[in-house]
Amino acid sequence: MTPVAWALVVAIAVITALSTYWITTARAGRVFERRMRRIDEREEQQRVQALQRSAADRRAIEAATLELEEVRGGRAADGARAADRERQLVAECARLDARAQLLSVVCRVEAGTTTPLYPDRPAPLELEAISSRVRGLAFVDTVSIADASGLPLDRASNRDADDLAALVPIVSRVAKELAPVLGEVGALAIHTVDARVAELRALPGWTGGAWLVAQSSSQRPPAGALDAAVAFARVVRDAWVSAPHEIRLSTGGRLGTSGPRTELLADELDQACRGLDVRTAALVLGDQILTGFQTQGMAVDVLEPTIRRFHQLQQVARVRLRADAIARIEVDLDGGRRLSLSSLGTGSRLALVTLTVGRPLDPLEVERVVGRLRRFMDSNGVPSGGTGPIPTTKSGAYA
Amino acid sequence: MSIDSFVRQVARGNPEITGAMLVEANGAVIASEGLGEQLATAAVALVLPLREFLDRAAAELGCGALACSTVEGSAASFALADVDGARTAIVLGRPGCSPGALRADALWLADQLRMGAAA
Repeated sequence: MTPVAWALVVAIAVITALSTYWITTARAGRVFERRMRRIDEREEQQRVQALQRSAADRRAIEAATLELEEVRGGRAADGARAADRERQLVAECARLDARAQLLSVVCRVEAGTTTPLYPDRPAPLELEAISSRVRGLAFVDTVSIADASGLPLDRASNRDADDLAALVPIVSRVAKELAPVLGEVGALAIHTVDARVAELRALPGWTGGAWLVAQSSSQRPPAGALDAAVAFARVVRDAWVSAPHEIRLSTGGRLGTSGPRTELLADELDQACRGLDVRTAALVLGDQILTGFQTQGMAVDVLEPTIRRFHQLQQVARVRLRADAIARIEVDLDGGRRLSLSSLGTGSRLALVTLTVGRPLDPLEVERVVGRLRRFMDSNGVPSGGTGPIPTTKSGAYA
Repeated sequence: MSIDSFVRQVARGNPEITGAMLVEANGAVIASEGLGEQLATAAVALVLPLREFLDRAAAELGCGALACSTVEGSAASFALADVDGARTAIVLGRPGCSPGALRADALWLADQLRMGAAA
C-alpha cells in the first residue's frame, strides 16, 4: 500500500472517529441537557411546592394566631365574667348568710321563748278591713285608725284623717287616766260648735293602743256601724270583753258649795233636768263644781278629776278638729253609763256635766237644758238678776 | 289670709306645740310664731341640713318628694313639712307632745300655705 493509500485510510479513520465522537458527544449533550432540564423542572416544582406549602403554612399560622388571640381574648372575657359572677355569688352568699342568721334569731326567739317579736303590731290590711266597715256610710265623712302616738295606721290617709288621728293621743291618755275611776271607755264623742262630731272607739287587742276615729259633719256616726267594726276587731284579735268595772256610786245629794246664788242655780238646774233620767247633773265653772245633784251618781272625788281631764281634752280637741270651740264631750262607759260635759256657750268656762245610766239623753234634750241654763246666767255663772262680782270664799271658790 | 296668720293660727292656743315657722330654702325666716329669735335661728340651722339630707334619702330610696318628717327627742320634738319644694313649714312641739299631733299640724300648715299661694 502506498503512502497515499495509508494516508487516506488514516484520514477516513480519523474522520470516522471524529464524527462518531461528535455524534456521541452531541447525543450525550442532549441527554445531559434533557436531564438538566428535568432537574431544573423538578427543582422548580419543588420550589413552587415549597412556596405553596409556606403560603399555606403562613395562612395556617395566621389563622392559628388569630384563633389563639381569640381564645386568649375569650378566656380574658370569660375570666372577667367569671370574676363578676364570683363577686355576685359572694355577695349573694353573704346576703343569704345574713338572712339565715336573722331567720335563725327569729326562729330562736319564737321557738325559745314562744314570744313573737311583734306580738300586737297592727297590720295595715287588718286595719283596712276594720275601717272599711265604717267608711262611706251615711253620716260618716272621715275615718281613720291611729295608735297612741297619733300616727295614722291605715293606708287610706288624708289631711282630715291626719287631724282625726292626732286626736287619739289625748283621748288615749284621758281614757287611761280615767280608767281606774270610771272603768273602760267604750266610746268617746266630741261635738264641735259647728255641729261636727268625732267619735273615737278603742280597738281591743293591741298593746300599743289603736283607736278607730270617725267624723261626721251633722250628727254622731252610726253607733251600730262602729259597734260592728269594734266587734269585728275583737274577732280579728281574739280579744274578749273585759269584766265590767266596779262602779262607785254615791248615795245621792247635793254637789258644790252652798250660797245664795248657788241655791238659785241649783233650783234652775233641778227644774231644767226635771223629767230626765239623769243620775248626776252638775254645773261647773272651769274645774270647780258650782252646784249639782245626784241620785246614785258619781262620787265627787271621781267627778272632779274627770272634769279636769275633760277640760284638757276640750282644749286639745278644739285645735285638732280646727273648731272655734267644743260644744260637748260624751263618754260611753260600761254598764250603759254615759258621762257628758256640755259647754254653756262658745268659749264659756261654764259647763253642764251629766251622767245617765241606761237610756242616754237625746241631743235635743241636752240642748234644751243647756239653752235654759245659758239664758239663766251670764258667762261667769252669775244668775240673771244677780249683780256685782261673783261671790267667792277665801280660797277663791265660787259661793 | 296672710302667711303670718296661718302660722299664728297653728301655733296660738295649741297646747301641744311651742311654735311654728316658715323658712325659705336659703334659711330666711318668712314667718314665725311663738319662737324667740335664738330658738328660731337654732331651729333653722338644725332643720335645713336635715331637710336636704331627707330630700336626698327620700329620692334615693324611691320615696319620691319629701312631704313630712317628724323628729322625736327626749327634750323636744319637731316636725317639718314641705310647702312647695323650697319652703319648709316647721312646727316645734312641747315635751311629751305626740308625733301624730306635730305631723298633723305641720301638714296642715303646709297645706294652708300651699292653698293660700294658689289662691
